[in-house]
Amino acid sequence: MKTYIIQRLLLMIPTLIGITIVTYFIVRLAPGDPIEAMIRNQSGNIDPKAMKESAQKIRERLGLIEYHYLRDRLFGPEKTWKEKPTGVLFGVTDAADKVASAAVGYVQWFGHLCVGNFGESIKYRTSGGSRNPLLLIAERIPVTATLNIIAETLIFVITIPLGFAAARYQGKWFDRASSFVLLALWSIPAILAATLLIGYLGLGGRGLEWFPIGNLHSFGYEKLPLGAYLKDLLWHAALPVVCLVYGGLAYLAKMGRASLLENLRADYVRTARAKGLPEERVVYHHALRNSLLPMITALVLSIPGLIGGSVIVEYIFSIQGTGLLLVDAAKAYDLALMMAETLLYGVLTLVFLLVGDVLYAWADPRVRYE
Amino acid sequence: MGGTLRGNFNAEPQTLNPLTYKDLYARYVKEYVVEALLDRDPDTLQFIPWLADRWEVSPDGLVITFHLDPRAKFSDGMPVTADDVVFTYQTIVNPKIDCQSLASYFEDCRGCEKIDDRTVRFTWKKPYFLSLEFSAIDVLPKHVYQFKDAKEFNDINDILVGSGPYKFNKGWKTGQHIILERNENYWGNPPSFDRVVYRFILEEQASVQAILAGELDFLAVTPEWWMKLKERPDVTDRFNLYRYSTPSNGYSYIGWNNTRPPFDDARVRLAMTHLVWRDQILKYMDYGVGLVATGSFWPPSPQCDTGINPWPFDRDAARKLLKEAGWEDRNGDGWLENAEGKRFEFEFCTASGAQATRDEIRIIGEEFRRMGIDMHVRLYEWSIFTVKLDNRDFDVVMLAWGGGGVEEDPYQTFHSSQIANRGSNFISFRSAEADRLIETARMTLDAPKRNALYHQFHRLLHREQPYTFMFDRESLRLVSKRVRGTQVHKMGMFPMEWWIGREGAVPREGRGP
Amino acid sequence: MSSLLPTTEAAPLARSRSYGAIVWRQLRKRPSAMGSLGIIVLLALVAILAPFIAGEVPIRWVENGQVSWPIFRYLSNGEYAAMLGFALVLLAPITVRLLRSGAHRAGTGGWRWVFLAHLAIWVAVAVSLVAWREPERRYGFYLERAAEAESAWFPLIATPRHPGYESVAHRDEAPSWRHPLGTDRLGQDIVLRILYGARTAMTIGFVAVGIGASIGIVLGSVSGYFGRWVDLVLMRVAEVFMFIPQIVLIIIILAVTPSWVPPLWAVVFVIGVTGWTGYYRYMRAELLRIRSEDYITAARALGIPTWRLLLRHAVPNGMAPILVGATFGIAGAVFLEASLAFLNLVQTPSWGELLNDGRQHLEYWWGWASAGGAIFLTVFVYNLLGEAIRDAIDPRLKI
Repeated sequence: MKTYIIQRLLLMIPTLIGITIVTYFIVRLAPGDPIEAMIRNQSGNIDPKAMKESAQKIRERLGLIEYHYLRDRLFGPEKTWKEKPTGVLFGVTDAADKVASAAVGYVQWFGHLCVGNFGESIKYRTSGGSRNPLLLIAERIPVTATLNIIAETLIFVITIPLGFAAARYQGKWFDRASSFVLLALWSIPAILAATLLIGYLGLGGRGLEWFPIGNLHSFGYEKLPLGAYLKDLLWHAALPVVCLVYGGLAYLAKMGRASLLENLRADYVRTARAKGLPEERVVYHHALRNSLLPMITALVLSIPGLIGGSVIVEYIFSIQGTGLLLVDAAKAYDLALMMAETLLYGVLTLVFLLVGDVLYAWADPRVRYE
Repeated sequence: MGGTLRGNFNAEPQTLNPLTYKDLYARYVKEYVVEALLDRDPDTLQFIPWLADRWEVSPDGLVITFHLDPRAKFSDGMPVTADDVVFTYQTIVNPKIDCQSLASYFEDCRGCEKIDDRTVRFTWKKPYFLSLEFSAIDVLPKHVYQFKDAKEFNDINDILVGSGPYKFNKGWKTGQHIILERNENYWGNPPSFDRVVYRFILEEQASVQAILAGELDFLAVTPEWWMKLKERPDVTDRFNLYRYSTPSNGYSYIGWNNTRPPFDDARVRLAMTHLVWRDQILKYMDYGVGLVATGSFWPPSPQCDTGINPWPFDRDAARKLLKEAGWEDRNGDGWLENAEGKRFEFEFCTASGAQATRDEIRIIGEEFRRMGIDMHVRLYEWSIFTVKLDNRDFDVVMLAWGGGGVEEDPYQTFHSSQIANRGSNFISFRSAEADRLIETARMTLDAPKRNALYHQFHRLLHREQPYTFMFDRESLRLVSKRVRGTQVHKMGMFPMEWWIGREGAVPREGRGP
Repeated sequence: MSSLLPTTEAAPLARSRSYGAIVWRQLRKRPSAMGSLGIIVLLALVAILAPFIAGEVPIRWVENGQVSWPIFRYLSNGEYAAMLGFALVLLAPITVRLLRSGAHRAGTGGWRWVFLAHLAIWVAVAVSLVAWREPERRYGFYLERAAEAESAWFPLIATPRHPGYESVAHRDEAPSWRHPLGTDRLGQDIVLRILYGARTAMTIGFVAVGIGASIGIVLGSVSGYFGRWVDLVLMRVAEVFMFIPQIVLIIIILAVTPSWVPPLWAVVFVIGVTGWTGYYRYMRAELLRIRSEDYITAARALGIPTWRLLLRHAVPNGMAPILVGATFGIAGAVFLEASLAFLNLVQTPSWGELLNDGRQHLEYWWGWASAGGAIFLTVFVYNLLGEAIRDAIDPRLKI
């Protein structure tokens, strides 16, 4: 087992490097300039010339310089062109230059990373004024983590009894009805659900106005005592959590059901029944315990999916979490921030998958990892 | 007196540096904290004293002298002196400081010199009717902002110190809000609020819900929300709704590339204007908020000839003009062709991802296609778009100019010298008569004579249609009734003159807290 | 002397059934599966026949005594091809069945020739219909001139295909006889948008999954069959895509996609290219299992080249979980597209866009409710079908 874990961790490294390479190159090779694209989200009229000049300065500082080595050799420096050359050769040369610049930039980024320097965010600043992507993300992690933890707990609390009940009453109306309902829930697009929730249950909406929209805290939350603070938090988190939870129920409840069924069909249960044990003891004491651990494993393995799903929910509800940060960073081509975030997601996913696998192996001694 | 005024920004400013800021939210914040030499009366539009209590302009318009108000001081108690004015000026024109657009206003300025502690003098090379306006710069405290290296200044993004009624004291929480505090040392009329808070609720629906839930005091809304909120009695009971225009709202337009056929023919441009049913768009897509524009001047400005009526929507007139210019359907395939058989098609470029703009373009394009003109819409990233503009590499663009003052100089936009060198006349409009009018007017210091010239220029624009002028935008504001003193002036609304009424008090007319 | 000689009488052979036939029989037993399949066919039909149901071009137009069928001239080449293709797909099983009974009588040798001839006939029909097409027209003014015609058969809902000045005056109208589901914010009929949105949904679903499944099948079979280094490397590549949440990768790619790429293809490409890892894992697992099966060993012994072995023997036998995954994948793709429209990263004429439009103004419920309902129905139906297929191929439920 230990060797397995170490092996997996070692294999993790090329994967994580792969993630960074893929992300970096996608963003670097895109047309348009990340700095100047930042204006896209600004309103008001900005003098294009002025923007260009300040952009150049920022570009140098962030290591996003484009080199034109090949192009200069083959076509001469840009200043001497009367008009921009065209043709396949130029296109290929330009593309090659761009790839080379991206490669150089990546190596620089990687070098900085090894010393712990994650670069600088183009668009964002933390409350302290820092542009360090790690700090920016760290500022937002509590928000996303809170949401996800509450959601995951709720899913856990709901799906396990649900799945087991479905297995217990297999074939009867409860089983079929719950399966149908859960599948229907799974099919509701998050946007529709969120829109309905916001519109009809949210403050300032058209219906009951029970829950606030946006942020996980009210304005001025720092001053609240602990009890009121928690209440405020849960009040704000109610709607987003519902959005996160309802979709995750179907799959896991089905898993729970299948897991318990498998155990109920197993030989040892048959033996227990043959021995004359009462049904409750068979189910709850024996079968349930054995099916619990695979369920937990499945839950742990589903966490990465939840993290992805929370991106949409954060966007809809205007909750300042890591997901929203990523969307905004992507729109602003904020390279340093995007790299830090995808690396974070990669590491998180990997950790949870590893934990899930280890749990699985620990729970079921029949599973061996070579 | 007292209380907190709570507003909202739809986007977070990038920086609060009072000279290098690039977006209008930063400008709003700056206006609470930093003051300028002169202000404009919001109703008469005339210059009135601010940091300068007296000023003189020499008869030839080349020398402008300001005398600073002896009472004026910064929020830390230091007096506002001529050194501060000179420092600010020199920082603006310093080529290493990141405020090129601001610096370009001073291309023809010889310099700003200190005469004595309370007097400064600006000297200009040529008579220019906007010299006074440009010279009345914001004044920054030298002892706070002085720098050895330009980079130092450019990097400042959350130090904002001035002489204004409010001060900024590290109140910027990224992603959350900006808080301004009352300046206890303010040298003028006491400020009305203890604090001013601007939150960043980016999504419009969320911001509307916030103000309805009582979390905000005033909010800018889009026409669609405006229409809906106007109808709700629960809204009109608690809020006042205001609609007004300010000079900085600007106007939107369709820019035809005047050098590319068929748009090099003024008849074709006029025909296209006839095909844009601006009244319909305004009525149904903007709910009537705004005005159809006929030229580049702000309608209440004396420069604008209000006797000019916009060209009406007229399919027949358009068809006639196009035929005159040689475009008709010669082969029955539904498209217009010219005598050489080339089809009338062009590419419409835009950089705006905004839904409203896209809808407008769609509707307009549909009408063009029905007339037989094939239009392809392309959305570009801003950075690529600006390159295309610089290189004049486009057929048609849809854009807007904003941020203007009460009086504007059309030199940069319409003078033929601004076609080359990436100037702002990117549609390449060239007219000797327009050039003459522009050149003469800008040097005419006598207002009535100058405005008469600008009226002529306005009529020329109307004839030539280098742009199809679309709309002069209006601002829509929702203000809570607990805020008093809200008034619409000719120049718009000014939160700094508002105050909070006593809680629960029934709204009544009159002044006073 | 007992007669222990083997009898020459052969026992009646049970009709052997192919795997596909077994799965199909299982599916037919479940009403939910059949219902889902029916709705899917209906969706496809509605998507293809959209111009006949809602549009501005009449099906038949009589003016000055002249009869014409304008609608066919206004179909784009793509639409025309899709109609033909769909008709073919519907009619083919019938004709194949007829041919099969005929081929049985002709003997197994003639079977192949009959099949080829059958194919040739269809191709000829299709080509001639295509060649006979008049050049398509872009614009017609039938709706305004309806009074001038002696007789005009407009589609069920006669409404402009694209919004213009006149339609904008009717924006956000509640459902009425003229517009059964109301109008959207530009005055376009909602039914029309739902119909044409079905096209986008079907396209996205099938093409995105097609791309993803193709990549997954190829890489997965190679990975599973060859194992060792190839597997190690490919698995790492797959992990790269698995460890970044799909939506995150999609957001990144779409944010930087140049604007000259048609948004529909961008979305399809992006969903396909980021969603292949599921198919990869299924195929790999199946191949790991299959490669040690007897028939593979036999095929190798016979000297069949590896590519053919994979293509003809190994992969087809591992397709079952891919089919399940693909069905869920189509549901997922439609689901994803709605999210993307909402994030304002792309603008496609789809249900997601309609849903997003209506989000800010809930009181105009007809738009977002229809779009939300359409998305929900499609996703639900594909999910049901996927569940049914999954149960059908479950080895424990063998007949």
